[in-house]
Amino acid sequence: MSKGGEEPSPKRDFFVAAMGMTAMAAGQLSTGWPETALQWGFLIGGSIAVGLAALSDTIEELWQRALHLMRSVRPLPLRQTVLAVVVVVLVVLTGRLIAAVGPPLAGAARVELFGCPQPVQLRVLTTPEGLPSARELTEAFEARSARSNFRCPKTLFYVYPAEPAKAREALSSGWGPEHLAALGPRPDLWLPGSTHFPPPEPGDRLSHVESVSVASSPIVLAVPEGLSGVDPRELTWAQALDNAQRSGWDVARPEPSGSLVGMLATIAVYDSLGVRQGRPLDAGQARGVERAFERALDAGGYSLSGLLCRHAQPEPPRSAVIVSEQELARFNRGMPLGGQCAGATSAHGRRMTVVRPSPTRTLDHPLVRLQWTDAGSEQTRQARAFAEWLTGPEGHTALSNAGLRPGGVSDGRPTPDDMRLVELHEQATRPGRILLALDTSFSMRQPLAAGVSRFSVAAQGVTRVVAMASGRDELGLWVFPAVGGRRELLPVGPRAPLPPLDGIVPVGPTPLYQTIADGVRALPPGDEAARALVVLTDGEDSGGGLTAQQMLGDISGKGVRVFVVAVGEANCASQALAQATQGTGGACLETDFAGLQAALEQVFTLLWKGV
Amino acid sequence: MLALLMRYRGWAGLGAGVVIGALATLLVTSVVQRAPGGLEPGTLIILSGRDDGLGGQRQALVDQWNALPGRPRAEIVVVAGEADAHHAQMLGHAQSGGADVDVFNLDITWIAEFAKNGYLRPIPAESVDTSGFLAKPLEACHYEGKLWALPFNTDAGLLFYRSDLIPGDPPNSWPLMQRAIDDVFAGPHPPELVAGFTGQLGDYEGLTVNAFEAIWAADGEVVGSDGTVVVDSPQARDGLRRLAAGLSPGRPQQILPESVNFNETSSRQAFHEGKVVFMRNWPVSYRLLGDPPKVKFQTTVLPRGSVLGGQNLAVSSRSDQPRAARELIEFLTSERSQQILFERGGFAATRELVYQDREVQAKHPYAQTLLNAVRQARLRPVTPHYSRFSAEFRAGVRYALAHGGEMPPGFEKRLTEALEGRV
Repeated sequence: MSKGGEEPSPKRDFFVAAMGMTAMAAGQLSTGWPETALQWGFLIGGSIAVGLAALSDTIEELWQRALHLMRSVRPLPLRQTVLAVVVVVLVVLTGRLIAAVGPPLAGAARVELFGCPQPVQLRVLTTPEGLPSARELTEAFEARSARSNFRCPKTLFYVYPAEPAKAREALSSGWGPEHLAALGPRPDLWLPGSTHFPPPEPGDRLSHVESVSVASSPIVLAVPEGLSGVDPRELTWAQALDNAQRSGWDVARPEPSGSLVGMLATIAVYDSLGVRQGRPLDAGQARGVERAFERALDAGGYSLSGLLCRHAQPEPPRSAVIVSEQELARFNRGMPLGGQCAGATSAHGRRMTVVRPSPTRTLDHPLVRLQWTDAGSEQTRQARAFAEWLTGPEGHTALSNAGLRPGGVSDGRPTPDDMRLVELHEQATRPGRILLALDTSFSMRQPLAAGVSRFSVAAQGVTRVVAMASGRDELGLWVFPAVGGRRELLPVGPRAPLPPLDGIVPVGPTPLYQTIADGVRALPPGDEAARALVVLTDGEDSGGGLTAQQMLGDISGKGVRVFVVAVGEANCASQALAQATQGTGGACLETDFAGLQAALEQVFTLLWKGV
Repeated sequence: MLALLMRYRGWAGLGAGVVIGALATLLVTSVVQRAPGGLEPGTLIILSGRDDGLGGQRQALVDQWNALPGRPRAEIVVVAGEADAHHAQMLGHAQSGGADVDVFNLDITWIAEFAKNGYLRPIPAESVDTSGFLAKPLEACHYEGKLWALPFNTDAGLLFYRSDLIPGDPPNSWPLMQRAIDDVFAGPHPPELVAGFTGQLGDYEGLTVNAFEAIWAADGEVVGSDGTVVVDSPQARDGLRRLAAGLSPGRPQQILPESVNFNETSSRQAFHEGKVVFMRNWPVSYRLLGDPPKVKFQTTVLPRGSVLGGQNLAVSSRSDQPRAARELIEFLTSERSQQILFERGGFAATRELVYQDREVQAKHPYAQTLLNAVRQARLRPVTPHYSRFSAEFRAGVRYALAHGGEMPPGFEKRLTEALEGRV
C-alpha cells in the first residue's frame, strides 16, 4: 500500500496484511475461543480474507481518500497514525460482530439446506425400576440441546435396563461380546440407582470412570388413604411399625434379594429396632420381624418385588408398603413405574400418604460416566455435557419432575455394619419350598445350534439354579409330560442330588394347565416355608384335559406363588399365564434361550431363602 | 520444449513420479484382487441382532464359510435386545471410528443414516452381480444412487385370516374386510371371538408400520416419491380414521381395543386364542402359531401392500479387511445361502429363485404369498433421520387414534422437519 508518493514495497504490503489479519483474529477471539468447526472457519477464513483485502487497490484508494478527508490533521505522519488506529479498531469490532453472528447464521443456513447433522449416539444403562425416569431425563436433555442448536438434537439416547449386579460385572470385565449378547449395547453412562453397586475400576478397555451422586430418594412408608391411625409426628422405623400394629394394619416390604429398596428398608428397620432396645437384634427377634413382613406380603397378594402397583388394582390390600420416595411420588402423580410394576397405571386417581420415618436409608442415584479407550471424542463430549447439565439448575428441575430429590448425597452407600444386618436378615428369612416343572414336550427337542437342543439348554439352566439352593431350602422336580410314565423326578424335600437329565428325550404334548394345577396341589401349607411353583415351558397347553378357567380356579387362594419362565413359542401375553402368575403373587418372565439362565436365576434369587 | 522441461524439472519429476506410482498401484491392487489369497488376514466380525430363525442357521452359514480354504475366520457378535438396541450399538461403534467390526447387519431403515455419514463402504455396481435379488429389497440397499449393502433377508406383512370363518376368497380391501367381519359376527361364531382385526399398535416401530399400511390401504400416502410429506390428504385421514373408528366400541368390534398395546407376540397370541378374525403380522408368525395350529388359518397379502422389512449386510468403512468382508457378504447372500436360510431357518430369502424351490414351498406353505407381498411391498421414507421421523410419526398417529382419526395441527410440518432431523 502506497502513501501518496512513496513506492509500494513488499515489506509494507506484508505489514499491512499482517495487521489486518491480526486485527480480525483479535476481534473474533475477543468473543471467545472457537469450539466448533464453523467458528474456526470464520476465524481463519475471515483473517485471511481481511489480510488479502488489505492489499487490494480498492482499499488503497479508500485509504488515500480518507487521508485526504482528514487533511485538517497535520502533520502527515500523525494523520496516517490516527487513521491506522481508527481502521484497526473498526476491523476489530467487525471481527467481534462476525464471530457473534456469522457461525449461527451459517449453521442455520446449513440446517435449512442439508438437514440436521447426525446426532451423537449415547447408550444409557439403568435398572428396570429406573427406566421410565431415566428416559424422562434424557428426553429433557435432548430437547434442551436441540433448542440451542437450530432444533437439531446433538444426542440420540438409547436407554435400557439391566440388573445392576450383572451390569457391574460386565463393566468390570470390559463389556466383551458375551455381555453384548447377554445384556445389550455397551453403555456410555450408567445409572445403577445406588452406590451399593460401586462404579467399575478402570481397566484395559475402560480408561476412565467418573461417578457423582446426582439425586437421592429416601426409603419411606406409603399408607393407603383409607387406613386410620397414621401418626403425623416424626417417628423412627420402630415406632412407625408399632403404630401400624396398634392400628391393625400390616406393613409389606419387597424382597431384599430382588430389590434394593427392600434391602435398604431391612437395614433401616433392623437398625432402628436395635437402637431402640440398646443392642443389635438377635436371630429370634429378626425372625419375628420377618414373619410380620411375610404375612403382609402373602395376605396382601403382593408379588415379591414391585409392590406399589398392587395398590393400583381393584380391591387393593389394607396394608402399607415400604417404598422409595420417588416410587410413591410417581404413583401419586400417575406417572409410569418401572421394574415389576412396568405397564401398570395408577388407578382412578388413587393416592397414598407418605410417612417419613427418621433416620432412614437413601438411594443415592449416582451417574457413572464410562470412558472407553476406543470411544469417540464427540461421544465423550456429549456424555460430559449430559453429566454437567444433570448437576445444573435445569437438570435439577428434570430430576424433581421425575420424583427425585436433586443434588445427591454422600452417605448413601450401605456400611459394613449395614451389611451385617443384611446377613442377619438372610438367616432369619423363611426357607423356600419350590417345585420346578420342566417342559419335556416334543418341541423341546428342537436344535438351537450344532449339538445343542432346547432341552439341553433348559436342563443346564435347571442344574445351575438348583446348585444355588441352601441347606434350608426344599426343592422338587417334575417333568411334563411324564417321561417313561414318571412325572416326579425328585419329590419336594430337603436338598438332594438331581437325577441325571441328559438321558431324557423330549416327546409328547404339553399338559401345561394340568401340571400347574397339580403342582400347586403338591405344595400344601403346613409351616412357614415360602411355597412356589416354577414352570419352564416352550409352548402352549395341549393334551392336558384341563381348561384355563379350571386351572385358574384350582390355584387361586392356595398360597402358592406361580412363576412361569416362557421360552420359544410360549409367551407371557397368554391370558391364562398372565392371570396364573399375577393372580398368585408370582411373575411371568419371557426370554429366549440365550437369556434362559439369567431368567431362571432372577426367579430363584427371589425364592431361595435359606443360607 | 526441452528448455521448458529443464526449467521446471522439479515439477516434471514430481508429476512423472505421481503418474508412475498411480499406475503401479492400480496394477498391483488389481492383480492382488483377482488372487483369492489376497483376502486380508484377521477375524471378520459381523455385528448383528439375535438370530430369531430356527436352528441357528446364520451361525451355520458362518461355520460353512470358516470351513472354506483360504478364507479368514468370521464371527457373529450378537447384541441382545430389540432393534433399537442393535441400532444403538452399531451406531455407537461406527461413531467411535473403531476398526473391529467389519460387517454390519443393518435393518433396511438404517441404510440411509449409515451411508450418509460415511460409516459404510459402497459397493461399485459393476463389481457385483445383483440380478438374482428381488427388486424391492435390492432397492432398499441403495442410497443416493450408490449400492451400500446386499440384502440378507427380507420381510413383508401378511394378512392372517380364520379360514374356518371366511369361506372362499379372502377380502382384498379394507371395506370388504369390514363387511366380512360384519358377516362373521352376524351369524353363529365361537364365544372367544370378540373382534374383527388385530395388529401391532403399541408405541414402537410396529405402530409406524401398521399406520403406514392403514394409510396406504385408503389410497393415501405419507411421504411422496420426491420426498415431500403429503400426509395431510383426505385419503390419509381416512386411513387413520378407520383405525380410530375400529378401536372405539362398536357392534361388532372391528379392531381389538387391546391392540394399542400389542407387539408381534401379543397380537399373535390374541389370534391364537381365537379372539379375532384377521391379524396383520410378519410371516414368522406362521410357524409360531404351532403345528397343527390351534385355530384354522390362511394367509393373504394386505390390501394395497405391506411395509418392506428386512436386513442387509454392509461393509464398515473402517474395516481393515474390506475385500474379505465383501466376499463374506456375497457368500451370505448367495443363492445357496439364501436357500438354507429360508428352508431351514425361516428367513424370507432375498433371491427370487429360492421361492420356486420345492423343499422351501413344502416347509413354508406361505412362500408364494410372501413372494407376492414382497413384490408389492413399499418402503418407509428413506432418510438418515429415520428414527426421529418414526417417533414423530407415531406421536401424530397416537394423537389421531385418541381423537377420532384427526391429525394433530402442524403434523405435516413436524414430519417434514423430522425428515431433516429437527425436533
